[in-house]
Amino acid sequence: MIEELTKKLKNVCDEFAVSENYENIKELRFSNNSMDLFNNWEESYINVFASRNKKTMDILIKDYNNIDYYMEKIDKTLNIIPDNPSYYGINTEHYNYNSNEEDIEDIDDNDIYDLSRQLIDASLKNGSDKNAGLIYKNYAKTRIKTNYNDETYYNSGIEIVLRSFHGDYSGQEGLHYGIKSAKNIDPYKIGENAAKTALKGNNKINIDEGKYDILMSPYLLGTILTYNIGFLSYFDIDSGLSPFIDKLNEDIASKNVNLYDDPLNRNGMGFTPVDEEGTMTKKLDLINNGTLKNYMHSYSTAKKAGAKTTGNAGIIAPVPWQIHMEKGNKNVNDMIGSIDHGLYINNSWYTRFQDERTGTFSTVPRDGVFLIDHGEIRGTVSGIRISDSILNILKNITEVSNEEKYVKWWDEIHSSIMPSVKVENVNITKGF
Amino acid sequence: MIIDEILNYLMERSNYSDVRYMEIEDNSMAYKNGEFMGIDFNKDHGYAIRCVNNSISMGFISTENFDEAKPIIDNIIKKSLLNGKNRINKNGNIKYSWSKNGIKKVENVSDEDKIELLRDNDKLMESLDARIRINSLSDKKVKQIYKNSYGADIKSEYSRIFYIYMLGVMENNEFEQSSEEYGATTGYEYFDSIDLNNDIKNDIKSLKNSIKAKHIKPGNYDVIAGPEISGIVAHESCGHPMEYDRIVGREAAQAGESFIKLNNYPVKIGSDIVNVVDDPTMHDSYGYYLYDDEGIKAKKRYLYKDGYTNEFILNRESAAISNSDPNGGGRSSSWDMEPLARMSTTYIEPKDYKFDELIRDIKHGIYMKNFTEWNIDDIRFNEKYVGKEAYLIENGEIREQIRRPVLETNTIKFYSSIDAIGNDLKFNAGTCGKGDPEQGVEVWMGGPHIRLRNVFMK
Repeated sequence: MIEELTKKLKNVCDEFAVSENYENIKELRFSNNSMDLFNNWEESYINVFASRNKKTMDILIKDYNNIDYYMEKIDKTLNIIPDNPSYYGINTEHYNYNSNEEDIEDIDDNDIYDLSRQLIDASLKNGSDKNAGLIYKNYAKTRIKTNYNDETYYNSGIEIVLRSFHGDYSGQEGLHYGIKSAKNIDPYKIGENAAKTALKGNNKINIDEGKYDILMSPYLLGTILTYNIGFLSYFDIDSGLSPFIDKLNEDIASKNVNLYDDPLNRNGMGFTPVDEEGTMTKKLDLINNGTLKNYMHSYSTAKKAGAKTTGNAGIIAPVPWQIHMEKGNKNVNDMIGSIDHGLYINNSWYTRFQDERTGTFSTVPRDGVFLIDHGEIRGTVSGIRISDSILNILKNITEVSNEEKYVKWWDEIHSSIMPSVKVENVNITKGF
Repeated sequence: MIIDEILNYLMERSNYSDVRYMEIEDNSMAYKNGEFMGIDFNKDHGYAIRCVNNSISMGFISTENFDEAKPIIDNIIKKSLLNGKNRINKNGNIKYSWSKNGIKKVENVSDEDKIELLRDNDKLMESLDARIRINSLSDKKVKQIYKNSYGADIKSEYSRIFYIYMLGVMENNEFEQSSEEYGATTGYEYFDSIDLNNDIKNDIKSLKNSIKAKHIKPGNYDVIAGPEISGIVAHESCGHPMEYDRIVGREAAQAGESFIKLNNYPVKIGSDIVNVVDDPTMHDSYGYYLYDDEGIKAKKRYLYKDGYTNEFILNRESAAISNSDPNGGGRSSSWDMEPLARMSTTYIEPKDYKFDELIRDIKHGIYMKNFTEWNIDDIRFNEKYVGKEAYLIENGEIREQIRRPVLETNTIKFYSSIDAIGNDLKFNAGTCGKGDPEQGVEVWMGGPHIRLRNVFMK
């Protein structure tokens, strides 16, 4: 199919980047300790990016019997639309790929149901009274073909989310596993951890608004960075909507912060060896010892910026694949012990911005929010918000844990790898 | 089309089954800071197949070859034999067709005309010194057929239009931003019913004034909240907590649960004058439909009535759990998503106060016309709204503009502080997120101006 398509594309556009996709995804959802739904998606489709001079378009093709219809649509559209002045072509460099590994297996989905039972039972055994969550099992084959490159890669992974309740209190784990780590799933540990967080809940404490030192778990850090890391895409920089404009090579974070995009890490579901225009991806330094080292680029945005592609196409708007904050050398319990008067926050949701130029946002903590008093967790806090900016938070990371988690959750945390961090002087607000 | 073949196959192997076929053709395009960003064109189709035995399972396929589909169908039949929840309401099955495509049909409006609309708005923003400008337009045409094993056969065809702009102004190195969304289920005549140019002009003017404005002194104020705020409050702190699947915990791991508990029902949520409605049949609404995505007839529902919780939003599954009939709340964003209990057009019902009457006896207050940042917790109780365009009120008159006043409160306090409701119902469009995988469905949110007494602002 793709050969016939690309042959015809040469008649209607100058450059193209075609991705041919096959996906088979299974999902089991559960709540109140039993299964709600099993879902199975199977789909084949083709995405085409086509350009003529500086005119660009994207088109989804699923009806493979009507290719001529799509070619006519592309031809007609590229005739009438205005130029995109920011478009400078797709990557012309030819690559010799090595991503086509043989070890991909379609993991047996009969195990999903048993896995859900093990998660629920482990949590109940550790004292929870109610559990909700899901398991995804993804299998995908992707072929990227452009005027200059042609590569196929496979990906597979598992995502597990477990939210455990103990009365009014909850704890949550949300983890992802790539093909290299799927055999290491420990459902008992996941259930135990979610339940233990829920069981820490007791003794509701009201706190005042103000500045607090916060021990951010990998989930909270993942949520905050998921919502902010797109600002390092050159598309956002060029738009003028980013707190990181004109900050390349400046110290934007504390020296403890080393952050990179980690697309070749097959322990996670964010594994992506080839970007959308056929560029081989690589580990990309974003923040090194607190210094902003790179924006994320496609070939086109890099041309505009006088830089080199970083393998993060989105051709028009570059994207991160699998953000990884390097772990540090601190024990989490020692980090908690070092906080005299602060908070331990496991996760948050509903992150919204009031000023994207300064990265000023608020986000609502959930699934484990505790007061730390003289180094010990004393009680549960509710009804608060983190109301601060990403620049303040990055600058105030004073400690990084020696453990990390592969975190992913719903729409809030993209596949990423996060440690726990201690952040000083975070602004907390609450309702009145 | 293999919808009948799939359904016949399932009927012999399930207690209940349904199949929904969708074709979706959508176009989207955008201008960013004077530059055209290209066009996206998607022509999508597929089947959502549901099978209920000992549990519920769904398959999503886009092939038109039954033999290719059969392994997935057999897999979901097999999975439905596992133990799980399997209650689903089987009532309300009829044959019906409906359509809503408007007059200026999306397929008859040229790309050139759409591009011109975007370009003109970009130029207008530029002429008013908006440094950051993003204008985006999308439309889609949907054809859907829903059939189930109890005889339902609903055909629908509709078009939806969506426009969003985002802009930012900067003066003296200070920045303010705004984003507004417009949408409707109709044709391109929708743009004749709104005044986008005027909205943009007013928005930029107020952002510039906001930069120069002062923050308020924290304290208790009487507050007039504009329709945009009434709408987001109706959506976030009434519509969501009244979705029955949330209340019974089915969404607990993602979008959360509800502050409304069944062991303490009904709940007094606020002033007796407060009614909040969800009505999918609201003419032209971005969330308009006559039959939901489970073949159930849509109807107007009073979610809060006379200050109390009243009617839940139900899909077939949650209706069965609540031992009632579904009320047309089963919505899915596309062929590849399960139907969940969802809102459509949610609004605080207007009363009879004119704006002047709302404001005239306020000695020291705030008029918060619209909002920028907002959020709410996962039981839909603790919420925050940051004012975008807002003014002080002194002795019944609107005075100087103020910058980003914050209302951080909770649902009961908000609705309990309402003592007067205006007569000027207005709607804004939005995309409501829920489910895993996340699915955004089109909604309107609305209300009139409302008066809140003695609320803490900062």
